[in-house]
Amino acid sequence: MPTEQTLIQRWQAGDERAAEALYQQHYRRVFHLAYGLLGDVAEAEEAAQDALAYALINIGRYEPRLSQFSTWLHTITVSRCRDQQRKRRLATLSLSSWLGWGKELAAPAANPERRLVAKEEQNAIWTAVQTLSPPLREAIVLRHWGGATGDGHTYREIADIVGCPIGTAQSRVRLAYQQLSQRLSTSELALLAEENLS
Amino acid sequence: MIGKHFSEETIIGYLYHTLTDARREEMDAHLSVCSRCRDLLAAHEVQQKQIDQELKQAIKRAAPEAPVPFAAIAPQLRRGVLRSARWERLVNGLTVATAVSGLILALFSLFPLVQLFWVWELHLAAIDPLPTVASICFGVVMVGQFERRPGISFSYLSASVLTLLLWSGTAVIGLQNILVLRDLFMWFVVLQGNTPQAALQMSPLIVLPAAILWIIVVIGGAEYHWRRIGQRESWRLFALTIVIQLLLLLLPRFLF
Repeated sequence: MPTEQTLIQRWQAGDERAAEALYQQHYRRVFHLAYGLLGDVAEAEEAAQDALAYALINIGRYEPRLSQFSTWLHTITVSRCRDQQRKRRLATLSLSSWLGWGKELAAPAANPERRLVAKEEQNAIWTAVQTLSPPLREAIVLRHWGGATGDGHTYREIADIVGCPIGTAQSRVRLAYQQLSQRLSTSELALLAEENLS
Repeated sequence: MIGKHFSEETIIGYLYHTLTDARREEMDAHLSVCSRCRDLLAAHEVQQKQIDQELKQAIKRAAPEAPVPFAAIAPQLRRGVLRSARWERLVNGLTVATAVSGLILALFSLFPLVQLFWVWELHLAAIDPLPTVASICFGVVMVGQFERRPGISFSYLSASVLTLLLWSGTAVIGLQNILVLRDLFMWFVVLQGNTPQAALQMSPLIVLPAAILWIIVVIGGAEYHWRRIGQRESWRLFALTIVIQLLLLLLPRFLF
């Protein structure tokens, strides 16, 4: 089986089968990262497809000396997810709400049924993660998910992916954890701990 | 530390490995004797583990509803690659052309100033627009390259050529800067009541250290850029060099 580096070189040389192999290899991981950041399946699918298409078209810009391919790909994914969030904000902004005449800003545009089902499935922690601000959500998701071992990215990688200094990445992870800690009630945590022990 | 205990923030830092080695060792020593901090850490460890597990599970549970097959994006890729290659060629061509123009302007601007080296012609050094235009050319090239990184060998080759052009161009402009510094020094000496001839005789006092600095910067810069061809640090140093050179070139315009 060809290595990732071989596939990249073959795609840079114009072999479309190598591009397909890279697409298949990374689609799910990119989708999962996008889902972690957006919390919506349809939006995550769109972001994953955009990110992979962009990465494959601009494969010439990828520099193996500077980062792993997955880190580079995750950088693009985070950027696409930010675009999705921006779109979401624009879609929900109406003149009347801006002027303060109407109701509060509507919830992010999504299928209400799917949202309801998803809410039932999701636990308190997942819901709390979704309420974090985008920079904090990016930091905590990347710290706990993905990376070379699947156990989360290093701070160096997080800093590269979100485009901030390493100290900022560290403080965002800390702050995200503190906010999650505050938002989760003690009883919920105790219940979760019990479930986990049993 | 709050009183005899560590703050919750420090404990979270310990948990997330964001403390310095010294701070971590300090906390290790404290934890071995303090049950209160140990308990707090243990509680956070449980919570962190929960967050880790639940986050991973929630993400893994999600599955794409309608995954897009590769065949659906293949035409988009073909078009994109073609467009990207064309655009890359255009940008590379324009960048190299601008850098070459900058170098030619810098070299041309050097000749008349070399002739003026031994004469008192301050105003000519101050009004010559060529080095300023050359610096602007280099600035445009550098800004265009700032976020770009060399990937395949052709891009690496382009980055190497640009680095060489920028390095030699900034070296030439550096010589102009020495002349401007010399003229500014002589102007200052004349302001103190000396004759232009006396100022000229004293000019090696500024030219000599400036020339030594120029040699160090040119040799040191060559090594720095050679090791970092196409990297952000290299473009950043070029940006800094060009800004300083441009300011020095423009300084006489503000003074006279």
